[in-house]
Amino acid sequence: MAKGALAMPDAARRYWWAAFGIASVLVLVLAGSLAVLLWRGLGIWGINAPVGWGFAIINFVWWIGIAHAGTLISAILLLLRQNWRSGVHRLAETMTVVAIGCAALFPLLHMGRPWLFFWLLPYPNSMGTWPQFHSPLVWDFFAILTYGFVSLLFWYLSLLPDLAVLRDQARSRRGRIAWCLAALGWRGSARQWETHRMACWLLAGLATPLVVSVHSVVSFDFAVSLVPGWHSTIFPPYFVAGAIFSGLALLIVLVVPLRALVGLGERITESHLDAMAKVLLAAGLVVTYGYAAELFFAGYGGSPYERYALANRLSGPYAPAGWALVALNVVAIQALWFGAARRRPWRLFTVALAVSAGMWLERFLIVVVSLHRDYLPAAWGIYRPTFWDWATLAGAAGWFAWLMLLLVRFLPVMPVAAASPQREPAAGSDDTARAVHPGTRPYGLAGVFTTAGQLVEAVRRARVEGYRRLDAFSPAPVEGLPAVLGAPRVRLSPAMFAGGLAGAFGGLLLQFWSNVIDLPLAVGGKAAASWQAFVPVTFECAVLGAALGALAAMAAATGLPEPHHPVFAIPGFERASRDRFFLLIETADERFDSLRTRDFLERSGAQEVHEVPG
Amino acid sequence: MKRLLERREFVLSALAGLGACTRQPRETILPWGARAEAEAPDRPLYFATATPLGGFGLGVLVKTLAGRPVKVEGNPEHPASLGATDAFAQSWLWSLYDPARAQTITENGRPRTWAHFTEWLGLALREQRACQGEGLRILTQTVTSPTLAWQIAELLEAFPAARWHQYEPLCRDPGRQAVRAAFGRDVDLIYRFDRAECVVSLDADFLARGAAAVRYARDFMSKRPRLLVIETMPSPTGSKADERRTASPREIEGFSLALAAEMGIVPATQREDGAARWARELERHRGASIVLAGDEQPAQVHLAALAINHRLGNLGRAVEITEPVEALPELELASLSELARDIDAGRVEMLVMLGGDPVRDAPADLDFAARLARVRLRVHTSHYLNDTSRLAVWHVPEAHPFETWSDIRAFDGTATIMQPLIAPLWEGKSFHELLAAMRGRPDASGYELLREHWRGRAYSLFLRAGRSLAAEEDFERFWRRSLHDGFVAGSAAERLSIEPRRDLARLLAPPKPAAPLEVSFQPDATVWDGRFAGNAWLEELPKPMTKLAWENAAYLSRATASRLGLASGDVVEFRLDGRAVHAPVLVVPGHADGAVTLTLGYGRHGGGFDAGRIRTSAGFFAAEGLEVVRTARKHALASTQEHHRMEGRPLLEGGRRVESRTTSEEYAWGMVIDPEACTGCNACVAACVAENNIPPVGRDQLMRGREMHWLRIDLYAEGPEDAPRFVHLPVMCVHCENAPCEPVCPTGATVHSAEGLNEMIYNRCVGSRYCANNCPYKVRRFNFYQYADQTTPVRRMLYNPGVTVRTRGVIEKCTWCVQRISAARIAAAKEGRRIRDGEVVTACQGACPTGAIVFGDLNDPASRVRRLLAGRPSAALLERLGTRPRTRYLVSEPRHG
Repeated sequence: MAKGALAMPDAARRYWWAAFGIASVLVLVLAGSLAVLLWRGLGIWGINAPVGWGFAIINFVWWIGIAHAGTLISAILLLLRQNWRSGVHRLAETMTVVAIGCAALFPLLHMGRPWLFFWLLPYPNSMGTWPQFHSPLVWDFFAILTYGFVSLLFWYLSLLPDLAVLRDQARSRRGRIAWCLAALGWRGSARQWETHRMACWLLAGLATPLVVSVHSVVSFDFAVSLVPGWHSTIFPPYFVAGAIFSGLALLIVLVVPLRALVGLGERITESHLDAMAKVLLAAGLVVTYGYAAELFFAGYGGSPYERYALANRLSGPYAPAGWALVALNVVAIQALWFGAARRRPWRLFTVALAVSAGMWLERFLIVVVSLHRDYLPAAWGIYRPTFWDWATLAGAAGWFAWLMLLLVRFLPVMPVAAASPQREPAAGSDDTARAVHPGTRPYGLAGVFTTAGQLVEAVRRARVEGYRRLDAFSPAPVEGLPAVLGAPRVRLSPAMFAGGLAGAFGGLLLQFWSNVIDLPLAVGGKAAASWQAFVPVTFECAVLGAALGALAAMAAATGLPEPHHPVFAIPGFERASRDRFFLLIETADERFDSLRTRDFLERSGAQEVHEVPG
Repeated sequence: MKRLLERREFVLSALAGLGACTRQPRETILPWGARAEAEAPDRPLYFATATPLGGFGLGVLVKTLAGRPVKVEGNPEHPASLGATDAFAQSWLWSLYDPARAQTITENGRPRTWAHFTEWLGLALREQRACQGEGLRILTQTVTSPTLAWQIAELLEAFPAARWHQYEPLCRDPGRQAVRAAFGRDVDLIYRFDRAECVVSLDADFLARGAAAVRYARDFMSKRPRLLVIETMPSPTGSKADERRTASPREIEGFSLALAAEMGIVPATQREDGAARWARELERHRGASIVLAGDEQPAQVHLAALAINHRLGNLGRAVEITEPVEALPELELASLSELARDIDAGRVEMLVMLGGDPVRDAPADLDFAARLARVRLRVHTSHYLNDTSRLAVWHVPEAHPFETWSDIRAFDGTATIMQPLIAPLWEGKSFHELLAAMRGRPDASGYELLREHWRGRAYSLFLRAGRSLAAEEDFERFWRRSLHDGFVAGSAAERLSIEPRRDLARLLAPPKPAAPLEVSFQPDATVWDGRFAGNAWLEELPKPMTKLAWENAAYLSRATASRLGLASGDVVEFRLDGRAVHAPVLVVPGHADGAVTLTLGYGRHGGGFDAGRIRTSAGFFAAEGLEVVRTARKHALASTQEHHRMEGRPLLEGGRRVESRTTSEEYAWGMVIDPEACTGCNACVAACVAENNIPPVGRDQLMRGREMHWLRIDLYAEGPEDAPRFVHLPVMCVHCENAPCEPVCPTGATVHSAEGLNEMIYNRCVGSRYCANNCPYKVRRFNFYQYADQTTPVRRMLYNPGVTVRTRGVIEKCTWCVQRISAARIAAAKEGRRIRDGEVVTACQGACPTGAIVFGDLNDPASRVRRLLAGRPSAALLERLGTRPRTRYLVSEPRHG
């Protein structure tokens, strides 16, 4: 267990085990329901004609909505320089990744023949077929894929230095190797930090339109159809707001107990909660506006079907769900106008819990209540969820909780760099000097400093001395260090731009080739080359390309993954991720001289100077 | 030689229990249409035969592939069919391949062979011979089969003291009593709707019920006379009425007499406005009007109808009188009661029951089960093991109509020689073979018996036609011709020009006073009297006027229900004369007040309740004084439609004449449906099920909204609930030119063909169901489970090889019978021509008795679809959505001013 990541009191540990036990049972329930589902077929659910989509799609939209909070907090708030995000962004990102994992289950499982899901992927095959790119489900597939990838990248990138911390704190050799591999050989060099900062920044820029696009695309699943209650232009913004709303709500639901249990009160303060509550309220008001717009258009639009669909939500067989939605999503959040509700964690928790349930109900209303009575009254039907529907819903929640519990326990729930820059040296940190192999040329000399200021000063002086092959390592990015190091500026954006352009063109080309040239199908009386339908996938491919470009540029700039590097042999280098600053002067430097350089380092204030074996 | 035969017989009898394959003498069956020589095995052959219902035949053509019957079509040359069928005819295929059919001869439940049985039979009859057959009784259902009648007659000659009884729970006794009273003899009445201008139906569902319904529906819709209906329970006929009145059975009787009074036939007791108006309408069409009474109406009503027809001069014109078609017309209820009395008197030692289930469906007061037990020797033969079979000593599986030689007559007397289309799948025997065994010929085949009889009969037929049957070749020619055509030319019942007795009016008694709660017993629209219970194709058909499937309910009006404090789904106990039955009630729009309608035939296979439990000889078709006791139980009824309101939505808006544009493709398929002509009879649905391998899903799945029918008939009841206007709207895939289902499919599993078909590629479907959601017509069906039986060997014989059997997880829907288009395309290509108009007939179109569905090529300026669209206003379903369906519905122009 990672020290410093999450100090867990014994009481909390007992709660953790209890929660983990419940979650494990639910995971078993999920596994059981999926086994029955695959064995017997979709008939075990309550879906029918006319209600072709039920809990699976509701759950999918709900989870994918929740997955938007992470990116919102990490990306949008980063770009907006909202500092309060720092306390919760890791948790939010983790929640995003796990929620995507939950969400992605459902589109697969809801298919009649889930073992053929890969038919949604464009790949040349002996059947001569391609996905049908006019379908919002294909857009969805690409959007979820891209979003999953970018979220994972984002989460992992921000986790990277913390993984290095875990590596350096690992007590066993096996743990050290495992964390070392997970950290890809992160060593906290100035260049790595610089690249890391820039990559986070750029990916945030990339993720912002992505997060908007993903839930817009999810809303297209509905808006593109002609089902009354689905066919509406308000859907994309309304869905995006709803996603943020539900994601933030669930984040609050997670943060409040966690904060109470593991004593994060000083890191996630009441003003943090206050800020989150305000955003929650704002998102809720947008969602309320969405409801109002739906009502307005149904009433004003003059379509008897739309009008009925809306009225049916509040007066039909599912009216209790409709009114519960109003109570939970519209009325409950009005409490957040008052500081007393925003700043009291458990009051906020209650509101957030209401919103989480309300947003699930909203998807129930959209999916089921719209479908069950559409155009021809003779074809109306009713939907009754079965035991297996509920089991899958509970099971997926369990799966979410199970993964979250594992991740918060074993990975830093807060960025360590920000958490404790001046922590006590760990007791018993091994100081065994590594044997320098005689006869081999050392890699360089490393000076150990105790403060960032000393390091910057030492670097500046080394540059004045004429040293050029320098590198500096720190537990956190050090302001001004890249500038004094004189390293060339890290540039990721050209690669991202190129990747994005390639992705966009590739995506567009793929769609045109497959759906217009190679296999033009007559669908819906539309021209095969109706390019409008190709926009969403093109966009998602552009984002995916850009993210891949960033990844490649990052790898090039940092040299990662590089599990072994000579600096790891510096005695006490594990403190480079904690509380020590290292300056390395390589033997390859023209001005390197083992005595003079050692002397220089000592003069510059280095506590210790170590030879770095080659 | 003798020794050899003995050995052979020994081996055969030893093998018989294993279903041995014996070498049969050659019996030639003849295909309809083309000659059978050297045909490719995959080429379908059509054989003419008939399907029975209540003893009467419907001429059909059965399509066989490699010796396997796979589809029933109407015989266009048969007078009862004219090319169409009813749902029952279609569904005989399901029972042909039903492994639940009785398969083995049994004695007290133990398997036996035919040899065992005939040996026993011989011994039993030897006893009877001694006493002239005094203890022998034969119980059949209504018999029209000339050969069977001849065989029974021969048997009765040999056993002069034996008696033959006929009984069906839906017999036509009241009508028979009426004609006997009026004419002093047995006659049949045939209605000529093609000659009628005005029709009054006294609770007669002539468009959808009975042996003549297919023909009557065709005649009626081609002429469309004004239709006035008075009835208790809404019926397909009532749904087509220009004016529809609801009345309890007593009120219908009163109304008929009031109608007769308005005609001046009987003195008026009280004036009835409606009756006066209807009488005036009838009088405007003397000689060209029809008044007909339902089979369940009492003799009084039949007499009134007869008197009115007579007064209007309709007899011999729009109402024809013929020789009776039944072999021995009988008052069946009386016949069965006589049998019961004989049993009580200990006069019955041996009872041979050919078909039927009297234990189940005899009047409750006869307690037939107890009486049957008193008969020592009980033989029963039937398709399925039913309550009677279980009480019989011997049970012989009855051969399926498609497995055996037989003959049968249609409503007008036209005889059909039924050909076997497949060797008996199990040990089924025909009635003919059983009767031959009783005459000491256990090995006589149906073929021999039929030919024997028809050889004799052909002489008289030829004689009647003024020809002579000179030689054996003439008989062969007659035989071949009759088999080929599917009917015996000139065998229709003779028209009679006789007058009813002059004092007919004196037979009409004054109406009985109104009664408290009345009950009316009626056949069920899908299982009839119960003989089709368990036939999944029929069970799954939503009943035309209630949309219930797999079960029945007690039907009543909203007003009666609220008077009794009931709502749909409440289970009540009905008590009548000390008998009781529990049943759920269903409020039916347009049902008469003060009466409850119970349909027969259920309670046998788990679904529904058995109305027969409170049906007695005294109240056989209707009774009064029904007591209703509420229970606390509720029952969820299996229905395919939530309700029948239109919710204020216009379904077919506007209506315009459409000049079809000719597309660049060779064909542009299109369909026109005339909802005005649709009676909701379900023949099309059953035909679609049979043609397209649509699996039944069962009651549970149906209740979850998962029925698989590609074609459904939506029923709407517009207007006030006590006097609604009914609309039957057949809805299948309308093949939108801008199909909303297509662009949403992620894998391109549903695409448009150049000829305008919305096509479904099952192989490519991953089952996202998005297309089904996006279909505003909700015609797409999803295989939630593996519904199609792919494992039971005999069930697999049922499948049409031209249509993919769908697996779990894929969507399916109407293809406009694309396999038939392909077949026509191939046939046309071979001859280097275009497909002709009328060459592609969809299954639904082919079955429809009223021709409400027309399919064809919109690119062909002379095609019927194109001419219909140009000539009559039509509308697309939900036209405002812009989906541009290729199926258009004719919009009615106001009829009769």
